[in-house]
Amino acid sequence: MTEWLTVDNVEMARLPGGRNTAPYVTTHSSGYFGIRVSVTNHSAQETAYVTAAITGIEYEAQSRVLRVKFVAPEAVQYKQARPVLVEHVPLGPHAETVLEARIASPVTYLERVSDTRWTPQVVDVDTDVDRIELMVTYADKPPPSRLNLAAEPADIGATWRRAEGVLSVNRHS
Amino acid sequence: MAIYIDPYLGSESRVFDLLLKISGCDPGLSSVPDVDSLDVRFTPKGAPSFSANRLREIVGSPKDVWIHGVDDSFMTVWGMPMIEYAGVTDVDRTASTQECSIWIDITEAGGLGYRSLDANGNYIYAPLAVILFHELAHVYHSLIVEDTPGDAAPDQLLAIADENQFRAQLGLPARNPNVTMHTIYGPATVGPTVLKGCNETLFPDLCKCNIATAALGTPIARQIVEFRRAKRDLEILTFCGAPVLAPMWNAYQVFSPLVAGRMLTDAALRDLMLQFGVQPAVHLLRIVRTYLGTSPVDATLVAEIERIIGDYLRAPSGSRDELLSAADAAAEAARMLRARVTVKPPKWCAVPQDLFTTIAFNVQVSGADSEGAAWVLDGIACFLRAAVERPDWIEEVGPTGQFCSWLAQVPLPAINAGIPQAQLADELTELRARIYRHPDVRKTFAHRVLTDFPALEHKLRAALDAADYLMPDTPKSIVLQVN
Repeated sequence: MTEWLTVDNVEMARLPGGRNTAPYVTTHSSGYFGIRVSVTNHSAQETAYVTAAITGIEYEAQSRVLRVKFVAPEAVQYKQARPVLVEHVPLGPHAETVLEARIASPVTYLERVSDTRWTPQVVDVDTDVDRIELMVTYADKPPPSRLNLAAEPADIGATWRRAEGVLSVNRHS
Repeated sequence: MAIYIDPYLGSESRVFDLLLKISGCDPGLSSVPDVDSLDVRFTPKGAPSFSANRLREIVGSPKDVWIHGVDDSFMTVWGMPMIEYAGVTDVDRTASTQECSIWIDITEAGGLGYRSLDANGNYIYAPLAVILFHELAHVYHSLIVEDTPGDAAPDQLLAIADENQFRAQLGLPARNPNVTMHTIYGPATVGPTVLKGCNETLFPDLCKCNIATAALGTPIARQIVEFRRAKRDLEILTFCGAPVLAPMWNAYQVFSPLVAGRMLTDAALRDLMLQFGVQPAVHLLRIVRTYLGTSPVDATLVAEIERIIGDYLRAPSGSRDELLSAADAAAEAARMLRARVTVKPPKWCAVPQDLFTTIAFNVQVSGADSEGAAWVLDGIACFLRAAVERPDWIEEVGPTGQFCSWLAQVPLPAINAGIPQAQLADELTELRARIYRHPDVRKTFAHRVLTDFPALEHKLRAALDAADYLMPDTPKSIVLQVN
């Protein structure tokens, strides 16, 4: 299947100002990174409904890769998670847009240490990441912006596709 | 058999505040420090309510509930960002587990705030207490009474129904019982957009911005009146047109609400503050006022100061070791503030060191000027040592003693370069008459002023000279000496 959405450019920069977490928490107060993902719809007929919010961030310590996912929950089965919706933006034929989001740094993961216990693991975007891999999903039909929990989940009949991009942020070379 | 609050990130007092709100601000809610948690206890003393009853059932159940206050950098156990949920509960509905965990973003999406939909499609405010109650509803149905339907969507409907009962109790608009949406962070479009805290509910007349008031329990305590009177009297002492005590007072105004707010929910902190913070400050102030109103060579000065310290020791003031420990802790907190060393808050307050670390931490996070707070902490350290070492310490209040040296180090307001020379000289003359009466103390003060404001050295030197602050051995050029 030919993909008709491309990730053309990925930019990331530290946002001015610190994190607004004081006085409630005392650590992890580094700041935010703004991430800008330029995407283009190359289809001549189809509108792409592009996932416009970060729904997942994964880190691979060995390769120092941070995977940032603009992925619709409908496109991926999130295990055990309660129903959640994310924003999508319509992108007409041959149109371009920039998806903007922010990532708190450091990112904190919960690592399972027993059946019921988790321990936090911290990844500093400034120092622990060499490469950022982007994944963006899009659909050919508009996903719902509201979810009726009392009703049977409606199948919108969309075909989900994905586009990918890479940003090298290796500061050690 | 309880709710346990994880102290990770120092968020435990915030989480406890949320539980307090859920309890209906019930004074029967308390916490006990354990090795790696705060254990929540609840013996209701207030009026029963839906949320208080629910909390009582959860706390009294044999199951363990861990609450982790986290920030907006967290990824949930499902790999999605916390800000897509605000709060999450991890409980395995299919297993007979005995414990579960709740994570709640106590930064409110890094200050963006959380919201929900009402029945008309408006965004309504989702306060953290409501978010936590919603998560506790998941716990209640899944783990405590085990009446959950088992699937995510019906389970969510149950939690929303419970949440709406709590919202009604708080006077907040109801959430749409069935429909959810994306982008749950951001501003509400219909009010109210704030939720009154327990402090405002329980103590409507109490000025929560004031540490002394929170410690003494009433804004009309005799000691509070003394503070107010001293502030009024000392405001006439100025330097470069600004009250000398302005940096100290301004700093207090900034950091005091943070400490006072915590004192209202932490009885141990309140007790420590009264014993080792407020009472020493009250008596220190009395010594200062006595000193300012008496000649340093007056024989009654020593006797009066002896009496003031004796008054302090007659009240429950702590053992010699505790007083010394408190003095050291206050001095160390002052040192860290001056050195701009990041202070890590104690997990809970049990000993005097925790008190002064808590103060220093809150000074830093509030952004208050560190110098003013550090000066007061040094003064308290000075007083506490005096209480331990009297009568030997009495000589410290003499003109060359530690007490006078401390007075000479008062943080000065920002200098106004345009102040007329004559006015500056008048101010220095007044300060000499009221505070810096001994030549050695004036010498210390002059050296400090010239060092702190090198750009105005010529103007200051002339005024200091006219007001008799310069001694023959005062360096001719502070700048050259520094270099």
